[in-house]
Formats: sequence, structure tokens, C-alpha cells
Amino acid sequence: MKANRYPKVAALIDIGSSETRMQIAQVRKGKMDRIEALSYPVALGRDVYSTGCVSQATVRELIKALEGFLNVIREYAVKDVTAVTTNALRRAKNRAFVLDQIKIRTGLDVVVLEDNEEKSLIYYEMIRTLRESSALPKDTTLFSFVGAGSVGIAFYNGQTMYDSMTVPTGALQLGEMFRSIQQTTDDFGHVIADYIHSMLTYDNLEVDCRNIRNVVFTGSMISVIAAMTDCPFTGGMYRIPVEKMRALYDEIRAQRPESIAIRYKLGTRTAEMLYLSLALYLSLVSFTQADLVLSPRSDMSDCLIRSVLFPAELESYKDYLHDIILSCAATTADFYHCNKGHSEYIRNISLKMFDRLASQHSFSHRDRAVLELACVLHECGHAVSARHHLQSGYEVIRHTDLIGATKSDMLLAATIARYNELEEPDMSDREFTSLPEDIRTKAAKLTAIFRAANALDNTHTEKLSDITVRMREDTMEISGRTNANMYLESYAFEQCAAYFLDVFGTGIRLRVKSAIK
Amino acid sequence: MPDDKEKFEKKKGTGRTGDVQSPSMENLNESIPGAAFPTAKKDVIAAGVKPLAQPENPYPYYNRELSWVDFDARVLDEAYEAENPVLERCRFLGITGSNLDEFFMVRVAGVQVQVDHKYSKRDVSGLTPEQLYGLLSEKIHDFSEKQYSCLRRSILPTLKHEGIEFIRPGKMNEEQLSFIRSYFDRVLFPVLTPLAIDNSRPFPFLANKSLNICVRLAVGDPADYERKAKDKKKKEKKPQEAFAVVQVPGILQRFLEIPGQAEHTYCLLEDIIICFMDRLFEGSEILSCSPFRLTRNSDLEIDEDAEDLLIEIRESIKKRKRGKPVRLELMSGCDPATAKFLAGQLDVRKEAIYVENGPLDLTLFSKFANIEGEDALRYPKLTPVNPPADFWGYSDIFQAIRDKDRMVHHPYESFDAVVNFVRQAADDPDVLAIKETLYRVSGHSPIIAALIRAAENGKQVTVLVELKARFDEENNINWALKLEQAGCHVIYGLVGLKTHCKITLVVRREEDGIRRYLHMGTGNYNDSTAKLYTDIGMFTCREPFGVDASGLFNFLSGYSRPPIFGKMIVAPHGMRDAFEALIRRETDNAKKGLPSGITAKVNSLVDPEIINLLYDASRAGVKIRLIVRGICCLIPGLAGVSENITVISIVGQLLEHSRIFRFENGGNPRIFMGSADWMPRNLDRRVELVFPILDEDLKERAFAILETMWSDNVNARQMMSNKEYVHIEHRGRPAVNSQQEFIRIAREKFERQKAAESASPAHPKETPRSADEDEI
Repeated sequence: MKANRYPKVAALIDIGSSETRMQIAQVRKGKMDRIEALSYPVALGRDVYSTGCVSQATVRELIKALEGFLNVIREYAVKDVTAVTTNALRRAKNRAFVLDQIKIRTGLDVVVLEDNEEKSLIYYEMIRTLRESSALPKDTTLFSFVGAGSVGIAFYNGQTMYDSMTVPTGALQLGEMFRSIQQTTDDFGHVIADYIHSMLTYDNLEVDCRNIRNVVFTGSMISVIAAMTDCPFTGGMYRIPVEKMRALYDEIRAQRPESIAIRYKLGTRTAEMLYLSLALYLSLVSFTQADLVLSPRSDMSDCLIRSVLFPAELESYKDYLHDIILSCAATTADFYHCNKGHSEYIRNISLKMFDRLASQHSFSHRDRAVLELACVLHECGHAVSARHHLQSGYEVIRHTDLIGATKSDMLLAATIARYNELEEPDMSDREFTSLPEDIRTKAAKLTAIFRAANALDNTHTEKLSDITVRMREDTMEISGRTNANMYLESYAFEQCAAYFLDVFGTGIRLRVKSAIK
Repeated sequence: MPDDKEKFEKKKGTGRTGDVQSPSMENLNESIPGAAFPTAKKDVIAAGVKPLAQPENPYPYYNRELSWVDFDARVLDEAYEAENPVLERCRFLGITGSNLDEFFMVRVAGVQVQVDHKYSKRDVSGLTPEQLYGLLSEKIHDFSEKQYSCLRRSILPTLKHEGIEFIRPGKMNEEQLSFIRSYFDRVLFPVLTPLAIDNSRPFPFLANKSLNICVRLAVGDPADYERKAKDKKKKEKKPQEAFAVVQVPGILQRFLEIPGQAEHTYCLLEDIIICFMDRLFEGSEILSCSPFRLTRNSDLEIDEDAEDLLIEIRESIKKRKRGKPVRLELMSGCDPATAKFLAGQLDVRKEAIYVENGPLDLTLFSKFANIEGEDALRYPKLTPVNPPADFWGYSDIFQAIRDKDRMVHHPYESFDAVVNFVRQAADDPDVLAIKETLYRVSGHSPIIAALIRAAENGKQVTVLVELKARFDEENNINWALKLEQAGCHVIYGLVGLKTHCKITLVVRREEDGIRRYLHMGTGNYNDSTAKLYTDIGMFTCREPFGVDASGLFNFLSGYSRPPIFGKMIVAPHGMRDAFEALIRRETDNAKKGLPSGITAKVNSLVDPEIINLLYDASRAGVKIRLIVRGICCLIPGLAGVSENITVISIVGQLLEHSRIFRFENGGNPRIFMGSADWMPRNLDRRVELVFPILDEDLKERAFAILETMWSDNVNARQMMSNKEYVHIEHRGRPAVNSQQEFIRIAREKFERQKAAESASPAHPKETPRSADEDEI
């Protein structure tokens, strides 16, 4: 019997801050069918948020959990196994050792998801579920995910996410931070509320949220809150009136987690998480005008496993990622007063060049997005320093948290945007040489494209129109039409040609068509 | 015979439960509105009913141990029942004996430990351990007397009438004596080891439940003694005495057929040994031979935190064999000096000594019931219908389950359906994994053989073997090791929880995806007991059940926290809450005037919280019908408390074992089945599974099964408000023996299907495989 006779089955292991989970799903009647869902409590977060490292006892517990999961994986003869981890292990100082021990003991290669990747997956799932339930708001909406180790906040404009931020303190971490305070004050509720408020107002959130009427929240405690406020899971989501959430919070805020646990028959840990999550949700909602919280099922693992099971889903996720990266990058560019017309102009030229070279140089979808990112953000440095704008731009881009983009994406984009027609990467550049070797060549290639495209709008006047890019034997020919004076652009372009040839082994030539003879 | 029976029938109306029952129970205190309580505290305590002054439980509650003795009395009723074939009556008598042994080893032992430790807290029925011990001792002494009365006055005369008699050496002719002498010389003598007791040889360790003979001996030569006495002119009139113990070998059959005038003549082993005891003590004068039997505390004390549970249980089993004596059985007419000696040596309290008419250890009659060639004196052999109606026409069991849910009612329908499910899974190339819980399995379990074969065939086989299944620990350890050696993944369940649920999960890869097939049952995966116990199993591949089953196994394997179960009700995570909610809903519905009612069939009803909720429901007007085979701590028919509750107990040819729960649910009845009784241990300390029947046809069938049981007026006895059990009056209605009815139903269905198949030759022919086809 041939194996491909059977529908695809995949497993996804998610090593989280307070529990390690696994799901196994298959394709059934064209849809994802979850066969198994396991969760095993492993307190990675408690270790990391209090000591910075994962203890050996916890590593052993984690490996035990993973070995159990692998037994179940064998029972379903699953071949596609993905293992990811998020905040707790990401922050662990001994992360590399832990991952190595996992690899040796279980054979699993665990991928450490960056915060932005994690959040973009969660938001993707939230949007997808809301869209499926025809409940996706058509106007501005605040999305938030309260995790054990961080809080994600994103704004949606009815089309796409256009801005996001991550507060690097989640419910579990708040608990660790405030455990000692609990022993010294009876008014712990106020302390938490004050802290959360100061944390969230830091990024001008209050102003951004002022007119928002729609909030979509998610997190592990939502189902507990829904149960305690008698809000059933219907139509693919919980619908929890803010009033009920507030009443619940008022009921428990003066109590310590131990009393909450006894009263509501919860574990002490859950009671603590409930309390802090509720405080976080209510602080967020207080900035808005919303009176109802929507909470669709939004498991990051769902998105990951779906992308393994369905190639089309993977493409759809890539499109979504591309949209939010650029859309949030545009918001950031606005913030730094970048010239939007110029950015868009050179983005188009860059992409035409990129697409001509993509196949030969094995460029990926992600490389394309990074090039676009560099184009959109390359002028950020001007707002910081006119004299050192390239260096400043590099620093700004590199340190910008952009939902959907990884640190490596941002570093690559910063490196690309670091150079103009006057400067080119070489081995004496600290920024360039600090790149990992495997992406240095790629950076050089994308930089070569970016410099040439940027040179073509050196004067920010978008003179050339009807731009086409063709390969003529060993040369890439960029042709366009203009009646304007192109001397400066041509000069700048010429400055970039040698580097382009060095990098690609392909020459580059500009051909300008003009009505004026 | 008729005289004895008559006497017994007369006694039946005023059984011992009635003796300890307060007459005032009939006249309930009306002063507290809405509730009725016993009046006299003394009577209440005597009755094992919780007194008024216990605020934590205002409702009456019958003590579980006392109720258990009542259950054994109902089994004894069957031994008395003249309409039962005489060898079956022997079997019932034997069962009362083995039941009582186990009761002593666990329950009485537990009470005795409390008494020894001066624990004085009252139980939920209002009794202190000391009071309970006294009541139990009295009740069991009386019960024991009835057992022997049944044997001597009713069963033995009937056996004699049928040409079967027991004879003692004193009444044997020369031919018979010669026969037993020869048997003694050839067989017994080589295996007997007399154990002398003196200053250098302490009282030997005697195995639990072993039958022994204590021999009192005169030490030295009597003539020599007399001479010495004369010389010294001392007043000594007795020689010096010594004791020895001879164990009746457990490996030999207790009864020996000897030549005789009757069709079959038997002699007991201990009588033969006593007859030739002098051969073991040549040179000593035997002053007396007294058979005795010891029962020990056999409850295991297991440290579940031990690193290797298997080793820990092995150690505990060893310790169990050395548990403190809780009962000493002696024959009436036992030599007083020997009785005193044994009581002293064994440190047995007075109340724990049971003087019986003999023979000791009535469990011998369970084996005796199987003597060859006397089928006319037994129930007609029950041959389970194979294949069961739901699988007729299917050669592929998975196809049958895919088409719809299936139900099998054992032993009326063959357990082979369950065995074949595992067996087919073991051989099916598309099956990826098999998971199963094992609590008690038979000696040559075909299920285990199939699981081993599945592992050999490369399937992922996970077996949860419950090592703590009482008195099956050793057997289960052996199975566990065998399964492990075959490559199965064997797990032993969770610390502090016995895994009692009965479930098999088969994971199969099919063209439209992975599908999970399940069998869930009310009884163990034990092909032997499945011939005697009435149980029900359901097969399904409904996805919500599959999801729950996987979650349950992941929890049992320790791979995952307990999930939120969608369809199944699982203890200890939510079963109590679920049952309480189901009962409360009936109460609420009754208050709203909606249809309400509860019909539950359990082996035991002990849980005080469930009982209180049932009382509440009764008071709200919910009609409650309970079929409780064994212990029932709820007292039905009390005005203002439980007048809407009727309790019956079915004790018959087969052991009622299924647990079924029906709730009227406002006119949309729901029915559940499973492994759990309404006892605290089932709801709080075990992993139990109760599942709903969703298929409409199966629901109807389950309702009908319950109704047939409820209409039983042959094997059913009704529990009265004074806690006595009385036979249900036919009152002109036809006699209904539910077990016989189920036999008829299963056969009729089978015959109908067979006839239909003959009429339709194109129909696929099912050739059922027998469970005996392959063994390890």
C-alpha cells in the first residue's frame, strides 16, 4: 500500500512558557482535522523570568514531555514534525545548551520563533477565524495577545495590520515580578493596575486607541474568563461584554491568588494568571471605547500546522506576512517623515530587477520582502541626522520591531539601506562584516539592486517612467522614458554599475528614451 | 429438606438486617418539616443509620459493611432456593464463602485496624469502628450459621437425594477405608509435613486462607509417665502436651471420590488426613485433631511514590501473605485446649473466632459444583450467540463500526466480538496503533495474545495494566512483563488512582484520513468472566469519542494533562460533578413539572453525596428506580425522604455487572454506561469512564435492557424501608427472569438473522472466529 494514498498528517510541538503542547492534524475533506491535542505543564517561564536560565530539573521535565509526545507521534506514523519555542526559551541565557540537549535526547530540531514571528502568526489566526465567522471588523480594531511572557498589541484598519508593538512583560512574568509585593501589600490589585498602565502608556497607546470601538483579545486565560463570566464559545469565538469582565475583576482584585484558587476551584498558578491577564485586558480595553471583547480561537500552532498541511495556506500566510510587514513599515516610515513617493518608486524598480534575477540567484519570497522593506525604510536616518543619515538609518531599521519581520530580516534590510551610490559594502565595513557569512553574499546582491534602483531617483523626482528591465546577454538593461534631465541619475547609476557587476557577474546598463532629440 | 426450606423461608422475612433494624424506622419523626428521620438514637446506631445529631449529613445512611453482609445473604438465598439446580446451589454457597473471605481480608480487616488503633470517629452512618466491629461480628456469626444450616439441612440432603453423598471415615466400610488408606499412602503422605511446636520451634507461619489441622499430642510414653507419677506420688494426672500443625495441601482437590453405594461418594481430604494422623506422629499419643482456618488482613499498603511500582507491588504482595489474622475458623466440637492454644498463638480476639459446623472453607463447593457428568444438576450451559446481532453479516469489524455504532450484551452475546476487534486490529496493515486498559484478565487471555501479535506486527501498542487490581496484582505483573517483552509499551497508570475504565482504542489509517475505532465497556477485558458476568460494550468510531479516548490515554500515559472531555464522563476529573449535575437537573425538572426520572443500575451505591442528591430528587418528586446488586447505603421508601425511590437487587445465575444510568431529561431521555459505581472510590480515586449512548437504535436497545431488568420478578429482590430485601410478588403477572429473557432475546435475534440469510444467498457469509483460536 503506497503511503501517498493517505492524507497528509503533521505534528506541531510548541514549547511555551508554562506548558509544552503538541497537536497532530490531518487533511480531511479539504480541511484541517485535529486528531490529537496534548499539553504538559513545564514551567520554563518560571525559571527564565526569575533566574534567566532554564534549570536542569526543568530541562529533564521538558525532555520527558517531549519523549511522551514523540511516542504519540509514532502512533500516528507522522513524518512532518515541527517543533517551535517562543518567549521563555528565547530569553533563556542557556538556550543553546537546552536546545542541544533536546536535540541529543529526542532528535528534535527546535526552531526558536522570534517575538514578531510569533505575534504575526497569532494575529493571522485571529484574522482568519474572524473572517471565517464573518466577524472581522471593517474599521479600526485593537488586537492583543496576552501571553505568559509578553503582551502583543496590533492595530488593524479593516484591510491589514498597520501598526504593532510588543510589551516584553507577560502575565507570568508580571507574577514573578510581583510575587514579593504580594507579601507586603493588601492592595495588590492597585499596584498591578498602576504598573500595567505605566507600561502601556509608554508608547502613546492611549492616543492611538482613543477612537477604537473593536477589540479582539486572545491568550490562554480567555477561556477561563469566558467560563467565569458565563460567555459560551459560539460561532467560533467568545463574546465577552467588557462590563462582565470588569465585574469579575472587581470581584477578585482584592483577593490573593490562593483565595481565588480556592473560591473558583482553580489551580493557584491559573488563579494568578487569571488575575494578571484580566488586569492586562482591562487596562487595554480602558484606552478604547469598546464594550465587547471578541476572542476567536487563535492558536499559533494552528497556523504553523496548517501551513505544513496545505501549500496554499502557506502562500496565503506569506502574502499576509508581506502585507503586514510593508504596511507596518509604511507606518514606521511615516513616523520618520520618509518620502513615500520616492520609496515607492525605487521599490518598484528594485522589484523589477529582483524578479529578473530571482530564479538564477535562488532568491526567496522573504528576500523580496526584505528588499522592499529596505526601500520603504531607507530614509529613516534623515530624521535623526542629516549628516550621518546612512549610519542612523541603519541603526533605526535594525532596531525597529516590525511585526512579521525577524531580527535577521531587519538586520538585512538595515544593511541594504545602509549604502547609496557613494558607498558600497566592502570587507572593511563593520556593519557588513558583522553579518553572518551565509547571508553576506545575499546582502551584497540585494544591496547592489537597491543602490542601482535608488540611484535612478537620486533627485527624488521620479523622472523616468515606463521602466522595463530586460536581460541582454550578460547585461541587465534598465530602460525608461523621460524628457527630463537625467545627468545626475545617470552619474549615480554609473557609480553603482561596477559593484553590480562584481556581485552578480552581470553588467548593468541604463537606456533612456526621450522625445527630445 | 422441605422442613429446612420452610424454616428458612420463615426466617427470610425477619433476617438479621431486620434484627438490628429499629422498629421505629417505620414511624418517622414528623416534627422536622420536609424530612423524616429515625427517632431513637440507640436504635439508629444499632441500625447503622446516621443519627439526627450529625449536622453534616441530615439524611439516613445505611452502613456499607452491614449492607454488604446483606448482599452475601442474598447470594445465600440462591443457595437455599430449591428451584435452583443443586450443584448451582453448591456454587452459590461457595460464592458466599469466597465473598466472605475477601470481605474479611479487606473490609473487616480495615475496621479491625481502626479498632486496634483506637480510632473513634463515627463514619457517615454514625457508627464508631468499635460499634461497627461488634455489629459486624454479630451479623457475620449469624450469617455463618445460616451458611452451614443451608449446607447441612438443605444442600447435602438434596445431593444425597440425587445420589451424591459425603461420607466421613467413621461411617466407611472396609472397602472405602482401604481406598482412602491407599490414597493417603500414595498421595497424601509424601506431601504432608507436620510442624511441631515447642520451645525451640515457634508457631509456624500459616498461609492466608489455608486449611490446617492442629494436633494435640501427649509427649513421651504414657506408661512411662504413669510409672513416674506413681513413684513420685505426685498429683499429676495428665501427661505433658504438645501441639503440631498439619497443613491440608492446597494443591490437591479438597474432595475425593471413593467407591460407595451412592452414585457418587466423596470424602474430604482433611477427614482422610485425620483418619491416618497417627502415621505422622508415630510414638506419640494423639489427643485431638482440630481443623482450623485462618484469614489474614490482605489489603496492600503500597508506596506509590516508589521508583518502580512493579517492584513495590511485588514486595507488598509478599507482605500481604503475612497480614495480621482477622478471622479464625474452628469446627464446632473443637477441642477446647486446642481452641485456647490457637487463639493465644494467633492473637485473635474473641469476636474473630468463628465456630462452624464444618466443613471449613465453603469455597470448596464452588469447585464441587463443576464435578464431571452431572450436567442435569446444573443450569443448562449458556452458549453466547456468535456473532452478536450487531455484527451479523460483517467479516470486517471496522466496516461494521463505520456503518454505525454497535452494541454487544455479554454473556448473552459472545465476547469474541471484542477479542476479534483487537485481533483484527493486530493483523490489519492499516492499523497504526492499539491502546487498551487492562484491569483483570484471564489466565490465557486471547486479548493479550492479540496485543502481543500486534506489537510483533509493528503496531504501536500501549497497554495500561492496573497493577493494583485487588488480588490480581500478581497475575497483572506477569502479564505486564510478557507484554513488555513483546515490545508493547506498558504503563501502570497514575499515582494514587486505580485505572478501572474499560476502553480500547484502535488508530487506523484510511483513505480519507486517520480514523479511531473504540470499544468501551462496563466489564473487564476478561474472556473468562465475560461468560459469567453481565456486561455491555459499545463500539464506535464517532470522532468526538475518538478525541476523548486519545485524550484519556494521553492522560493515563502521563503525556498530557487531562483534557476537557466532550462526550465522555471521566473520573476523577468531572464524573462526580457530571452525575451531580444530571441528578440536579432531574430535581429541577420535577420542580418545574417537566418529565423527570432516574433509572440507575450499579453494583454498589455508597457515595453519600450522590445519595443525598437522590433523596433531594425524591423529595422533589423525581421517580427513582435503582438496580443495585450489592451494597446499598440509601434507604428507600422513607416518608418525606425517599418514598419516590425504589431499590431492587438482582442476584441470579449470572453476576450482574453492567452499570447503566438513564435520566429522563425533561422528556428527552439520555442514557449512559460505563465502569463506575456510585461509590466515593469510583468517583474520586479511580480513573473511570462513563459514556453516553448516542445512536438512536442503541439508545432504544439500552432503554429496553434496563426495562427488562426492572421487570425482573424472579431474581430481583426489593429493598424495603427497614432495609430488608424481599422477593417481588408476581401478583398474577408472568414470572420474568431478566437473565433468561436476555438469553431468549439474543437467540431469537440470531435465529431471525440466520433465517434471513438463508433467504438471501447473496448476503455475505460471516464466519466468526472463536476466542479460543489462538492462545499464548
